[in-house]
Amino acid sequence: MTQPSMTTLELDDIQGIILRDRPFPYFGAYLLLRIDNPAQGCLLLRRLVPRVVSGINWQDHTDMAWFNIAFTFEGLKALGVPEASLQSFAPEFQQGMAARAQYLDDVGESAPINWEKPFGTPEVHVALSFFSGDRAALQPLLELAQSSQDDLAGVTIIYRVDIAMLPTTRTHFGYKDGIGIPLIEGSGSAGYPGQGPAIKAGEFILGYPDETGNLPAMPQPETLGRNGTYLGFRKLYSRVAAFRQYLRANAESQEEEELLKAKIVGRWPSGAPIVLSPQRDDPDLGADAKRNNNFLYNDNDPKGLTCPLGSHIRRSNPRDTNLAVVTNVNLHRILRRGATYGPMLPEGVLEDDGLDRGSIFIFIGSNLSRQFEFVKSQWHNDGNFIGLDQERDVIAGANDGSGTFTIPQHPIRRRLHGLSRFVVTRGGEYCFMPGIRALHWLGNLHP
Amino acid sequence: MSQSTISPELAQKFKEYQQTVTREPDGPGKRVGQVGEVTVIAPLKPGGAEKFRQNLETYQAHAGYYETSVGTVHDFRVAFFDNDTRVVLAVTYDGDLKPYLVDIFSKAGPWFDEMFSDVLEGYPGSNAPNIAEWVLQYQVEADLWFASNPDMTAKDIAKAGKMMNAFETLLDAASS
Repeated sequence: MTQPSMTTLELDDIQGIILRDRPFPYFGAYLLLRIDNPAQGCLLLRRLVPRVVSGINWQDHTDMAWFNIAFTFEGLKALGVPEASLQSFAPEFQQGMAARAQYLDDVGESAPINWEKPFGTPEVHVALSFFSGDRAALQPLLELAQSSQDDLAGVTIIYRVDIAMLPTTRTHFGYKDGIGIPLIEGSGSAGYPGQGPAIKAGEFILGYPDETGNLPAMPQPETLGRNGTYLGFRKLYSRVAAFRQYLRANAESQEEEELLKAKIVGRWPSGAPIVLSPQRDDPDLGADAKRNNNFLYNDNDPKGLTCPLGSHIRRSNPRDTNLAVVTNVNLHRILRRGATYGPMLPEGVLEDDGLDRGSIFIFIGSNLSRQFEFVKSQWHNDGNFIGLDQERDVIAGANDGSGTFTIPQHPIRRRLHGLSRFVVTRGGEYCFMPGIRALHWLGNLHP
Repeated sequence: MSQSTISPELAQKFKEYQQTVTREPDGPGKRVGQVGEVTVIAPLKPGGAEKFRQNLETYQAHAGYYETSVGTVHDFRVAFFDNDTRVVLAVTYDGDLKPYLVDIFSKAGPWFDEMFSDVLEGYPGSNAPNIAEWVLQYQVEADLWFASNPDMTAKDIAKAGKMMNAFETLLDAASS
């Protein structure tokens, strides 16, 4: 085991999105690019890299807009990264998210064959993410990215999706999101109450020890791998009308619908955790970052009588829940960046309007299979770890119409039936997000 | 036994009891329903088998607790062969193996180290970054696989056992 020294992160070499949270409100966009000419691809990088925001002053949100860059495996190939280096990347990244559909339960409607183009094709090379707390500040940055490749015939923008906080400040399903991110050791964050112990930096950034005490597998050469990380990008369509209809059909009153909403997710729509407010929503609690994540499960709610074991947040991060399968939960923490896209389905409307809406979900971590794929396959799409057989998560699970959701209660547990999936995968990619020095290295592959 | 000697009744039985065998996603090993097999055949250090047998009573005494704690293990065996030059480690377990390997070495590492250091040739220790790859290099996939009650996990079986006992008690009380 390595000696317990406090990790010092090279903040100036780490891309900012790894540490920065979304602003409130947030505006942004994701652009996907294809590179047909490696020299022009490198030229584009050399133009953009000076504007990429690093992790310096990451807690300061008063600045403008910022953007970050990531690459798919095909993208690194298209830039001309040498073969030996390409082979040193994680196998899941090399295969690409579409090839991992079996482990992610991207089946049926969510299968890659049904994905929105260009997701899942070899054409997605570069992903640019833009975030801003101010719509006006976003525009010049987007224009900069656009104009940087205007004169380069060998670089093409092949996809764009705009993101923005909804007027309700919540997800399309109606919940406050973004609560409960891991505290990264060495990041300089004071942390929030309930965030738990700091997680080893190597779980989220390459080049530092991870929770096993070892350095995570890192792509070579070191200049390319160090301070980089892996990223999963998913466009997730929300079947809002279906969700509302399901709640309506399984509740006898508005109040009971609200309670079901809280049982399914583990938080009330305001973000208040149900373990801290078992009977009703508490918007003040939901809005208070110092309180809304400050809880554990085992002492007061071991069997899930308040917060069901199969609720979304308890599955995604079991904390001190007594799991039926041997697990070190610190090996499976998710660092997520979610953002909503598309217009809202007006409140109270139960009929779908056919419009595209949902979330762009980003997962960041140094180990795609141990973190993202593990949570999806073991915790979202199975129930054995909590003694619930093959029951899947209501929100994130791949239910096929026969899904169940168990609500422990006395004297007899309640079980909802006939669940279909409410989230459909419209596309996704595995990316590698290099450190700043690595971006320079990539930009100089071709003079 | 040729096709012509199988009676229709027997053929029907074969069909009734036939299982669909698949492979572990993302790696070797056969699976039927929820239940999979791992068979590892590894070389022993000289004197390794002897060292293991000297401490066997302790390992056996602790095995119940450790293996039950893993949560997914149906059975586990350690058998030395080829004049104590090789060992087979065989496990029947639930669900996916690869995703949980790091967890198993993280939590049960000390027990494995105690049993297998100086026993398995080249054992790198449970803390080694490549421990999962090291174990998997010796994995041999079964050709034929059968598991009784393939949709019942070890936890399901334990739960069912408890429920059976409770139910029998209830029946006794109701009929007395």
